[in-house]
Amino acid sequence: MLELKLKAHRGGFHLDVDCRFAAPWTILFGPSGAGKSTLLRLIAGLENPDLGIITANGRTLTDTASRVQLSPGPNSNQRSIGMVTQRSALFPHMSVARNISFGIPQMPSEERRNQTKKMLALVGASHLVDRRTRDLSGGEAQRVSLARALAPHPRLLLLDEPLSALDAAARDEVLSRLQSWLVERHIQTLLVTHDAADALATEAEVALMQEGKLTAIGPARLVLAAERQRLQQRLASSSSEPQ
Amino acid sequence: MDWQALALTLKLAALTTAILLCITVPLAAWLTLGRSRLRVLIEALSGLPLVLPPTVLGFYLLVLLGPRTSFGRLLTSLLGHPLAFSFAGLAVGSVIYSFPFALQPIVAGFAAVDPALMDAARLLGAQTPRLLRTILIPLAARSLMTAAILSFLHTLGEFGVVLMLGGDIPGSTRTLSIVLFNQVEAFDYPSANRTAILLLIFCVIALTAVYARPSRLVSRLVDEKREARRA
Repeated sequence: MLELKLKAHRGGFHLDVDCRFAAPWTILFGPSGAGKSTLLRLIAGLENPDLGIITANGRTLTDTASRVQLSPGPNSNQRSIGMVTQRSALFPHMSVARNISFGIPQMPSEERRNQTKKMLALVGASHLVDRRTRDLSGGEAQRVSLARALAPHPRLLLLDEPLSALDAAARDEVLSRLQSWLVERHIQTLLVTHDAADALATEAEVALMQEGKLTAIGPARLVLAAERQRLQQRLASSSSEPQ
Repeated sequence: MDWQALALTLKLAALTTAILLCITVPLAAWLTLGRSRLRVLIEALSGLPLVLPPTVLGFYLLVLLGPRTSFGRLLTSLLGHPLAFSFAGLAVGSVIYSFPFALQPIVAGFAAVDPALMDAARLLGAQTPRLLRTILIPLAARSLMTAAILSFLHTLGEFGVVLMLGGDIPGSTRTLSIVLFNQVEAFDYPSANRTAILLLIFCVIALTAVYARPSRLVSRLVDEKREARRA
């Protein structure tokens, strides 16, 4: 269970969120510039809110009032949040295997090698283990980036259009395999998309974000139906205004 | 050729470069990653030797390290001898004088590292020391090399600070620049010419190494762009 009560100002943009994500897999949906990526960065601890509190399963990650801000990272005294963005951000001077093992330095080397192989298999990229990152295609780099974020087994996973470079069929295949793996391990996931088709094609909970606010949260059909209705009303009212 | 002065000059340049890298690498990381408001002040102060006449810097260091100040007296009592007019004093002066030549390339190199890589490393648990060791230093290795070469060369040719702070003590503070000055003052132009040529050769070789690298960097970036387009 992820609970947020946050306020953050970035230039002229204001983010004001007060919500609770209870589902194991939630899709964060909204237009570009709605604040989805900023919200994920705040949850991940890469940015600090001006005001607010973030708790995950009763554990306080951020609390501006009592000046609590756990650092990002997979260890028990850190936030234990994995995050993958559209830009794979693989370390260019390391091999695929070293990228994946970067987050698990405390594991014995044999175990680390096995974990690397397992994670690559999960994202369908076992054949890339010995490759240099600069030789990877966009889609391959995104798969490796996903494997890297999963390797330390975070408690919460934030995915910001992580497989945008893959075609729809490959993306669905990886995501469905990933979804069952995450649910089995009780790793709560927030997946950002601005593609309505992606959001509608799932039975997961959908949170709708607009202009820095979460305006609805619930089953995809209900949330997106309400959104569709609101858009129609706005169109109707703008067309009835005198010219 | 004054081989003793040559050896002393190379020793001073190497020691100064080593000390500077030890100080400026963590400082550059702090300036790049930190959020303190002191950063602007530190950057401004570190750039001071770029605009300050070396004789002015040398004079203030001479006063600070000498017996006129309590700091100088404290140092003298701790070391057993005054820092001024000694090799150690010369090294202190050289470190301060060459400071911006080491710091600025490293800060620029660290700042050029993609912030997304730093975020990814932080999310995987890397704190600043590991971030520095595994991400910043390897990716800014060329900038570190530039900083080392510039610091070495700058120390090699320094004159004003050396003269003010070290004087001209053979085997202790007499560097090649001082030797050159003495040779010119004695109208011994053939010897002065040999000393100057030696310094010139050092500088040309090292600067060629600095300027040869950007072309390789450009070709690497072009390769990467081509690969990305192909992907």
